[in-house]
Amino acid sequence: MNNEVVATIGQKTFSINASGDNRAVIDGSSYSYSFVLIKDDKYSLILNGRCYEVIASLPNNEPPTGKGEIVISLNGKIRTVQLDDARTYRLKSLFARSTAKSHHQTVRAPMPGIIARLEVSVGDEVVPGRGLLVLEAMKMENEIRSTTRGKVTRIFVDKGKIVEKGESLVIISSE
Amino acid sequence: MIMVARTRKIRKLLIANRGEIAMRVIRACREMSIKSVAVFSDIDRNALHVLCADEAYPLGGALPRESYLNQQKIVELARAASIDAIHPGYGFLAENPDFAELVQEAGMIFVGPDPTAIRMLGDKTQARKVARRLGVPTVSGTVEPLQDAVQGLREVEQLSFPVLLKAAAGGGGKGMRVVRSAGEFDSAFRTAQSEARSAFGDDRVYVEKYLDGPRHIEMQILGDSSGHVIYLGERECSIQRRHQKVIEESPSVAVDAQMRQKLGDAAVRLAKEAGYANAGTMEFLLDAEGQFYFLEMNTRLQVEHPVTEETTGIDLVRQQILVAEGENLPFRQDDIEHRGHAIECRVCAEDPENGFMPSTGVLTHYEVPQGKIRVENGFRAGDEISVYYDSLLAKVVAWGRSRPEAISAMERSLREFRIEGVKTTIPFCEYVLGHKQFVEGTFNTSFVDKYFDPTILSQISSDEMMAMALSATLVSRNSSSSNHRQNDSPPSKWREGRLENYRA
Repeated sequence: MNNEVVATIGQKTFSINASGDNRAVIDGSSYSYSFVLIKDDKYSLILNGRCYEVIASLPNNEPPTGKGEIVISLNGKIRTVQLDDARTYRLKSLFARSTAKSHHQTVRAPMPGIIARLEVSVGDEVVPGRGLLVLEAMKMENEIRSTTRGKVTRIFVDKGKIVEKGESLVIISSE
Repeated sequence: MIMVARTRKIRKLLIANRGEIAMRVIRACREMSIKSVAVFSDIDRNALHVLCADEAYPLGGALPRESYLNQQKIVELARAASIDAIHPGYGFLAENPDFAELVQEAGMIFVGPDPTAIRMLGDKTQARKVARRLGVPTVSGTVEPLQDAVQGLREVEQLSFPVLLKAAAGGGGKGMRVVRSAGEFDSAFRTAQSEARSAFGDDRVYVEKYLDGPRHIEMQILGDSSGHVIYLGERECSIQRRHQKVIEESPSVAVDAQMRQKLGDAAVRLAKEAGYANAGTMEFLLDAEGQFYFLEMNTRLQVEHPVTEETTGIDLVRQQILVAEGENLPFRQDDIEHRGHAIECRVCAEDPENGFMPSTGVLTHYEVPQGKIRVENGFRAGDEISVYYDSLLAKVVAWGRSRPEAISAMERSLREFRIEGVKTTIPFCEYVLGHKQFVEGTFNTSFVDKYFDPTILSQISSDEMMAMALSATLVSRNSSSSNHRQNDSPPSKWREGRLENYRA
């Protein structure tokens, strides 16, 4: 049985086989480790003699996707780790290369907030830097600007609407 | 003139605020055997300040204007609960003279200065007028609010760009915008107005010359109703993002005994002119030549008040309450001693790697540092940090006999924080504390623009990355095997945990 997992952190990937007790093969080298649950979501890892405090959680504010993303805090430093089995990972990297660029750009909310006002209407031509709308969060107003040139073809929100992080706000289409 | 102060004991005090400052006041009440009363919005039912107070009453709503800015409702609740006094904390209604008046008219004590003093000094345009009359240097600009953007632009012709638009009622960097060219003025003016309206319920905005790279130095004062006013030393607050302080310290490396006395004298004169009783802070800008300018007064307790408490040994909230009861200050200027060095770091739910954008979500994990350190905290694991309120989670205050000692105590403490679920300013604070300019004391308010490199925060060693990758693999394996689920990850126990959070 193949237990190889590919863990991706940012640009870096690790191939990990941790099927043996307290031994893991990482990128071809063998390591001994100790990994114990302390409480709830908190663990202690000792790897190569170094102690790490580990807290594991799901990516925040997103419904569980089943994509295998885990947020790991290691001594307070936080990263999202994407886990795939080796086969899925190889398929995905093939697929990534063949994806074409879209002519429609969906502007999404970079954070949760309240739409303070809209600064464009459907049909407006926009250029990079043009303000699209103002999102208010934690009493601060943040102008969401276009990063592309094109025409506003769709607006999903109205003034006063509360949006979640990642929610679609505006579609800008270019010819 | 002999003034006889009337004293009136406070037995029950309502805190018209939330978060760490509500906790700070509740604790002071406990120490003074005063009953504490919390108020809360619909989404704050489970908030720490509600759980810790002796009594708590709902304000309804979630938006500040429906809840913590609802003056009538707060006073109504206070009356019904037979409250003697209201402490406004900072932000929300803390510098609103109408609210202070409303509280007094309802026969209660407002723990803060008199409404007339707030009108004179808390309003930034009025305070500038008073300072000019007393010969205290001010930054050039208008002393009246702007009628509209057109008139604003006319005023700017006298000042030349860059200029700073500021809320007359403002504070905390809200309703403030730097304008570098005429083209940006209109939109900046509207944003400043609307931010000011939403944060303070007052959209008056004025304009002043923007000084590039001054230091921000402020002076804490304390006055009583018999007219005694003393100063408690300066705070250096130059490490800011978006005109909001992140790290503060006392004393400032840029202030010597002579300048301290000058700043203190100016602050005391301003306060006396307004008949100011209670705690307050005069903010100054200090340019590279060592010239200072009066900026504004904050007629309330400041977020960063603990650094002054640490160096003087004076509990400012206790003094606020005593002065509000009509007591005289128990010390004079000569009695004030300054000891060692104190630094405060603000832990805010913001993403320093991404322009300090607000970061909201559930605090899935939350542990604060321990040991010889002061933590003023307003939250705990499981709390949701929403878009509605300020991003401040906690303040950490380190004291040392010397500045390097305080810095190392702070660095150690920041490393002990474990916060999951939102991004925080902790990595930013660590960056600043380790930066040469900060360590040497050669920094000013342009530090973030000049020296802050967010990409450095992301750096972790390859050993650490490998440990993370292995941890993720092991966590996922353990939970999937124990649950007999088909789906490898994310582990189902977290799903259940999160659903509970959604329900809360």
